[in-house]
Amino acid sequence: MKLKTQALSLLILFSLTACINITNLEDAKTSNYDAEFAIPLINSRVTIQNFVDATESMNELQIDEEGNIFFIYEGSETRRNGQEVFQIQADLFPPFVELFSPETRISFAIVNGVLLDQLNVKAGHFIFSFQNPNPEKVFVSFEFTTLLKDGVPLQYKFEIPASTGSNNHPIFTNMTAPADISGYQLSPEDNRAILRYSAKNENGEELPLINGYIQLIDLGFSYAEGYFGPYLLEGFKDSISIDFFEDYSNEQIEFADPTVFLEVENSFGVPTRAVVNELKVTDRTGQQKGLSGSRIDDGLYFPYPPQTAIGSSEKTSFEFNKTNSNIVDLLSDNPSGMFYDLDIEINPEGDPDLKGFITDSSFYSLRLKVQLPLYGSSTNYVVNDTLDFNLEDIENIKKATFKIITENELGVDVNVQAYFLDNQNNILETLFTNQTLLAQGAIVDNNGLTNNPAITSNFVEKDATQIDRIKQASKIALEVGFSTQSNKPNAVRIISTQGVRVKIGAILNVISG
Amino acid sequence: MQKQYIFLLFCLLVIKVNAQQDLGIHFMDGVWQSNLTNPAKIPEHKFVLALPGFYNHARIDNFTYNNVVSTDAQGNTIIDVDNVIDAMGPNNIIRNQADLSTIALGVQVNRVFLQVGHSAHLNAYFDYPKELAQVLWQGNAQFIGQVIDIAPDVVMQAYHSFFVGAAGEIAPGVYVGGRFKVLNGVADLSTGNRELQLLTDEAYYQTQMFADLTLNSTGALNYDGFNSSTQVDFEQGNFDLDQIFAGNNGLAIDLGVTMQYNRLTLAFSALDLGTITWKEDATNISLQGEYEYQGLDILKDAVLNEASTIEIADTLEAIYNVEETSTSYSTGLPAKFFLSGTYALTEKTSLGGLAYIERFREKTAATFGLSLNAKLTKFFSVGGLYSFNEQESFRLGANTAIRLGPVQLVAATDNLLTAFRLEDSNSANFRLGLNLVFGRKEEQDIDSIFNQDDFFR
Repeated sequence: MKLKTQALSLLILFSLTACINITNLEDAKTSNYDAEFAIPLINSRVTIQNFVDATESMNELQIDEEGNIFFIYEGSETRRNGQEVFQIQADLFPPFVELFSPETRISFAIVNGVLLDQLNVKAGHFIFSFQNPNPEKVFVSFEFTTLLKDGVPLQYKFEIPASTGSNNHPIFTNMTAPADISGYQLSPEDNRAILRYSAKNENGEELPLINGYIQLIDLGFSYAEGYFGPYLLEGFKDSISIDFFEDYSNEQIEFADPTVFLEVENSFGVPTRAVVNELKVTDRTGQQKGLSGSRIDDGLYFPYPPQTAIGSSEKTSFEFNKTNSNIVDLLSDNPSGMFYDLDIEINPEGDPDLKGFITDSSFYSLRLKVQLPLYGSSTNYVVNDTLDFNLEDIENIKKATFKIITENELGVDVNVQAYFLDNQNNILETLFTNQTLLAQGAIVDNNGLTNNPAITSNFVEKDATQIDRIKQASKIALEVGFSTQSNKPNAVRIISTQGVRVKIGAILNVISG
Repeated sequence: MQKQYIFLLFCLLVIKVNAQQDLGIHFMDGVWQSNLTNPAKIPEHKFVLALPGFYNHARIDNFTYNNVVSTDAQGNTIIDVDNVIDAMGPNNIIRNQADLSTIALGVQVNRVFLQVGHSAHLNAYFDYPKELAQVLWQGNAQFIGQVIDIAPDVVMQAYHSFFVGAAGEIAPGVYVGGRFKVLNGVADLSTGNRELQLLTDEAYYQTQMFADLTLNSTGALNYDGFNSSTQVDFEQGNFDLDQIFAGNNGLAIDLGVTMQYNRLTLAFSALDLGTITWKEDATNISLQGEYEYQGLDILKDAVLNEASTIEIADTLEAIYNVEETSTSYSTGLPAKFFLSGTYALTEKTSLGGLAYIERFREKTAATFGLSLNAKLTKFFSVGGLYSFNEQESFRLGANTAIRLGPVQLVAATDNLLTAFRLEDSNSANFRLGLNLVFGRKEEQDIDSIFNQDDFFR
């Protein structure tokens, strides 16, 4: 059982007040709603590290221990190996050498004054053949005098039967079982290999042999030692695309300390230097300007491994910076890329006493790298981007006033304009009347670093008409300009721990639907 | 918008509980219902069986129906909320008290009048600062840079009262009486600590809240965090018999004294001095501390292009750490105090004056009144009342008691104008009672003071 006291009370009260025309309020409408709510929308800090983490091609960004950020643009490796360089392979020797006398000297097919002291054979076979024209048996002693193994030349002793006629001279050859000469060491004399033979009868008298010849088949070397060069290797070329300025428009950006590195790795045991034919920067208009300065003038000499470190390599990086080159000027002019064309000169001094070595795995490796530290100045580096946009669901807003506060730890001024666009990219509305300084750059010290954030406040007010236009937009085009005007003429350094805190509040005038 | 409905409900509540306060009945000497205002007042019949009767008192501060409702050019009825807010004072109370006397028995035994009975009570109280209504309807932008107090004080409770009492003459002309009440709570929704301050910062409008707010509930609130399933489930007037013996017990007493000297009678009473302790399924929702909502931290996710599903409710719940406990709590009843004087002008007419004070939720409200009552016959009496208080400076009330045989009908209101100009009234009350009375005391007993030769000496 329930006692509906309230119902009873209302019944009595309404009975007593029956003469009063109290309108049924359940059918009443509320008056128009016109409220202003002040609400915080965003309080969020974003750091340079966050942007770095978001970068898809992380190989383009590097951060050092102090948080300094570098944009890195690396070219491809240009590599040349030892065999390619010296062509010390099968064609070092003539494929077929006739032995016309008991001692034969064979010259190597080497140019440019290379004087080899030692060649280590890693593969190859040796074939020889002799005919005995004499009517008596001969005893032959044959050696490849300059082809040694453990200090002992390659030697053969054999007999050739007596000849029975002019058309039937006996032959001795190892053609059916060529000698494997891998592991032998060729120690030429005066760049020539020496072969000697001796043919004697039973009485010890020297007799001639005819149609003697040798063949070196599939010859390969693992090591060469001697005097190399001077010798010029041509055609070390590569180019780099620098897309940092891809979205660039207006004015200039200057890096205070850009650096170009020519990274070299060398396992040739010979003195080498690079001859710069071209090392140039291309700007966005296609113009090219050459890198110059003391660094190039001083010569780019490669370090090389000593005789005691055969098989190792030496690395170096030739650095072209603001102190030894004109790189600052080149990269301040809207660069779009960089390229080089180098030759490598071996034993450039031509000192014959300077002996070196190469191995079959020796190589030259060159790579160009451009490093742009976020340290510099800009009058207005502008980035443009267009994003999808949809505010169709926003309703009943008569007016909106946004207050935007930035706490900028970077020494960079950030200017922003946003355009609300329709599908045909027509501008329906803009965020600000003009491009607006959204975040003033913090003041930097002598090192380009900031100590205290700069605080900037902006108001954006949109009335109902403007809000309606914004609601019709399908895209928003952002134009964000970065400059260091606030710190002019100091250069500004950007490090990964710096960030910007953005606080946005809004006063929304909400009305009845 | 949801807020509009809340405010509409709020306004409807105000209008529908329009009623008044129980002062006139105090001067209806000899009627059982008068005893309810002072247990020392003894009815004129030796045996009284009070049948179900009803009393309702409602009050709203600072605005009336006409402040709320207007008509637009198209003839539509409009609830003009801005007009209501303009009419509000710094603090505003909406009050409704409904008492249902189910049955009571009073018996004169020798010189002691004994009584026993049951009644059910509904008590609704909503004290809110104007700023709360302003923030809800007009927004908080008008308070940027200001700390405003928006804590409401809410009481919505229903309880049973079983009472026994006695009254008697302890000295010539001096009567004392008392009622002892055993209370049993049915449902309650009430604020405990009630500090809630809001600051909208000038910087970028971040909101700071300084809170020490507790909302206690027994059988009246389904709390589910910031989700929509959180709702108040308090239906006034729903009393299930199986709730009579719920575990929410309390005690209260009524005390009274009357002193008669010649034609002058002075009376004082203190009613509903007691509390109820709410235990059964008690829920305490508390918000304590300083909270600040600064906006969403979304830029990092935006930069990293990570999907960021942000539910505002989750964010608010994370910031405003609402604690839910189940601790018993106590609520006090509205304590009422009557101080009156009555002067008998003639045998059948009397002039009275009254100071009524109510102490509830640490606030005291006073009403003052003058009455003129006449017993026109043995069966019919009428009375009139003028009263005023802080909210209303002129109220006229009327009351009457009609007896047909043993059946006595009692009706009273303290704001008669409400019946004619409800649109402009801040308060209303009404009492209706039906008694079976037997054994009227001898007239000479009742009117002895007028029969004594030396009465006017």
